[in-house]
Amino acid sequence: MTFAISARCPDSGKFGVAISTRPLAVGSRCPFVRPHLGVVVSMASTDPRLGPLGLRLLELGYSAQRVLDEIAASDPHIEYRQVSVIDRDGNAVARTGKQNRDWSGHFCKPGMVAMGNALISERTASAMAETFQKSKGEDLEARLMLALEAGRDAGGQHGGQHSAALIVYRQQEYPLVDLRVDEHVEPIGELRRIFDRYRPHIEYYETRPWQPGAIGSEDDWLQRRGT
Amino acid sequence: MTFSIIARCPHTGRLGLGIATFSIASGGRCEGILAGVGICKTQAFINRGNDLLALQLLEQGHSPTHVMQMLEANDPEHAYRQIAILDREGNAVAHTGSGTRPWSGHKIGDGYVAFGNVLAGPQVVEAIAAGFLKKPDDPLEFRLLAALEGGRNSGGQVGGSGHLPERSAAIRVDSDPDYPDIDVRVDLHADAIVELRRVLEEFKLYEGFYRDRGRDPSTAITQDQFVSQLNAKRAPLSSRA
Repeated sequence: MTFAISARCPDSGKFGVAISTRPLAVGSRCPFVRPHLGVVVSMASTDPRLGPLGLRLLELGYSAQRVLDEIAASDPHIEYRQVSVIDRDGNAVARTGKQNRDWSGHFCKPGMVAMGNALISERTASAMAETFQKSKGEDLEARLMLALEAGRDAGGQHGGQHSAALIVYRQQEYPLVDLRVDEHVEPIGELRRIFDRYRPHIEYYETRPWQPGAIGSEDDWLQRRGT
Repeated sequence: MTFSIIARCPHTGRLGLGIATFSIASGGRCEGILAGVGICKTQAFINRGNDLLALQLLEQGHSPTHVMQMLEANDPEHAYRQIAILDREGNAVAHTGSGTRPWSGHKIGDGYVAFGNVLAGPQVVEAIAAGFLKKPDDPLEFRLLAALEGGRNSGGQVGGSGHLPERSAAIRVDSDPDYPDIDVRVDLHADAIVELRRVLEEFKLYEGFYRDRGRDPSTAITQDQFVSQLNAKRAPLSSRA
């Protein structure tokens, strides 16, 4: 039981994931992103080792479909998994194993996968995909957040949600946005609260490493920008 | 404004990190840990490229002391950073630059570094170390948590306008290079270390279930079954309370 949207932004080159589930701390086990390379999401009865495996296969130069096929060939329990891969060209593929509980499935578009298992209905996944497509022009992190909320509002999953995460990489080896709610009665609402508070700081954190003296304090910087 | 500890478990060789700060989502800025290699954590005026670079240098076989020299040579703003490095054997080194805001400093012990900036004073890093050393046989994650609680209880962060609460906190423990054993976070909360203890204790109940189910889902019970077993075990406790 989990729903997730992963994407590559063709304008900025960003890769990102938004995900929510009933178990705790989903952000620590399921989304795997490498800048300039791709994104792998390993969920359902997840084996977190499949994520790093997928990223290493992408690094070798395999396309998304080939990476997914290799993962499936390598894992004896693949029918219990749900895995998606997006490569640097935006090829987006997913596999929903036969042992996943209803409703389970995935929607793939160029540069995007919306998927889930043990969902209330197909709408949780299709609403994520539609909302993501409709929000073109916004930052990838905002589009993923909106899509995750749409998945929740369309019914979410059986048993409700307890954890959520939003992760986006841009140029650097480390994430541009990496926010998590590990245990909460309404984790997507809580993730939205944290995201809205965090969002004005993103460029500050990106700039400060290179001019720690000149940039001044966080509060002054925010005031100067009128945010 | 942050206080942290990086440490190696002397019993298992696992590597771990605990962090608490006023800023939001500090756990999302802790990439610098790799099982079998070491830990590097840069804070104060953070340079996030540092930590991943340091891991690659440690992986080449360089000592923590030499890695720190190379970070310094690579960064014109080294004086603004606070950096702690630990290798897989527990050898440690730390740097608190003159540009970090007071009180800032670090304490290097056997297999750990306690460090922070914008703190109430040196007693905070002493208390982080004391918390870590209090129960040396506990699992590393609980030793790291005790360290953060020690830092908080001795005054924590104090900025220009007084005491700053811990609004985010995180603990991570790694034994495998591909994924963490423990990775729990509180990204924005009025009392983040209290909330972190709640999340960690809850996660520990599920830790084995999540791991075993991932390894072999065909023999695993469902989460519903697991939760009812858990509730059955809890019921006598709560009725006593």
